[in-house]
Amino acid sequence: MNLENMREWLARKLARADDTNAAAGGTSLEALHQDAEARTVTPAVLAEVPTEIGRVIRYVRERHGWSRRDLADLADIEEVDITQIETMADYAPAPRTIFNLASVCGFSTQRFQQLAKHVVIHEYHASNTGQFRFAARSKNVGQVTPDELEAVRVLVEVLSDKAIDKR
Amino acid sequence: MRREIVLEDRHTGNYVAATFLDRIDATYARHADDLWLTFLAAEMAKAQASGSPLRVPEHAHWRWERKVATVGHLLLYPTSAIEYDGDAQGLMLLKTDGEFARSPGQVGRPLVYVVFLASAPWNLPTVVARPRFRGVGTMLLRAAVDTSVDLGFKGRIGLHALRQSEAFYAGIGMTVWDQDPKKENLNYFEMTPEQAAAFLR
Repeated sequence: MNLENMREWLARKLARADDTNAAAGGTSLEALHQDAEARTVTPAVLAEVPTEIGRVIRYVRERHGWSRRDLADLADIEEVDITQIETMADYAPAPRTIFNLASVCGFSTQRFQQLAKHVVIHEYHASNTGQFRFAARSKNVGQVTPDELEAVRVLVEVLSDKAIDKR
Repeated sequence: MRREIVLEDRHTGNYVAATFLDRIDATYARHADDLWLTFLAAEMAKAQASGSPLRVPEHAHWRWERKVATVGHLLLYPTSAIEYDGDAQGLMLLKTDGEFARSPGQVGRPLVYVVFLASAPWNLPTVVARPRFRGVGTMLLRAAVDTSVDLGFKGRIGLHALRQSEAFYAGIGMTVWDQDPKKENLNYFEMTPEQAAAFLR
């Protein structure tokens, strides 16, 4: 929507309902804390996952409280696909699996496909220019530092920017 | 990500270009808190001195920094701000997972829940005689509906309205439900896909 259309739209809305007192709330900080704690993924959860795509899927499952079965049902794929993505270092998911998972997880299909093609990756950037890079990962699995967990969180955030699919 | 939007400048009667920010961090929220609370304290002192105390906004005690620091790092809690001339004019915190619709025909379907939404005190007629901007609440709510559409929730949103703003939510076509004892006894409002489509038109 260009600014002129937006101006006309806003004028129409304001003529119908004055928004000067608009506000919403009611959730206590305590309730927010509890929800945040329940949804926070710990490094230990990702420690045994050998690939970045596996970590991303595990991270999203954990945050939503989905079992592998739940996610497989939502994405209309086999549970074994999720298991293989999360446990195998050299598993190449089928295009349909990638597409359906991207859809359920709210990811950019294009970026998720990029990630899937680089099963073992280690470096990526979400910059202001929207650049997204992969490189080979040489680290051993078995432990995940808080920084690495933060890197997975950022990667999930980058994947969730679906604007790239429209460009 | 930043993009241009419009607001109505009530001082000039013109519409002006403002900036919409997807995602703010706790530092940004703290800056907004400082700005808003300082302004509010000054207006309260002025009103007190003139012998007609202000009707303090219901959300005057909010600290956005605490809210954003608590959940702003989680993807399911998107934050946003509207900015003009570098100052936050409105802030919003959404929740995009684990909230479900109550409306007939929509029961159990996911929606975007507006956890917190507020406008800067200089935009509030209860605080200043000449509020600055109008459109902050409408543009933030539009962003909530757009998020719902992007997530495949078809525009479904829900929120608990502060008393001062119930008329606005009813005015844009949201359906009021009941008071919620878990949410400070505020009334729950919901927008169905049909109401969202009408709102976006």
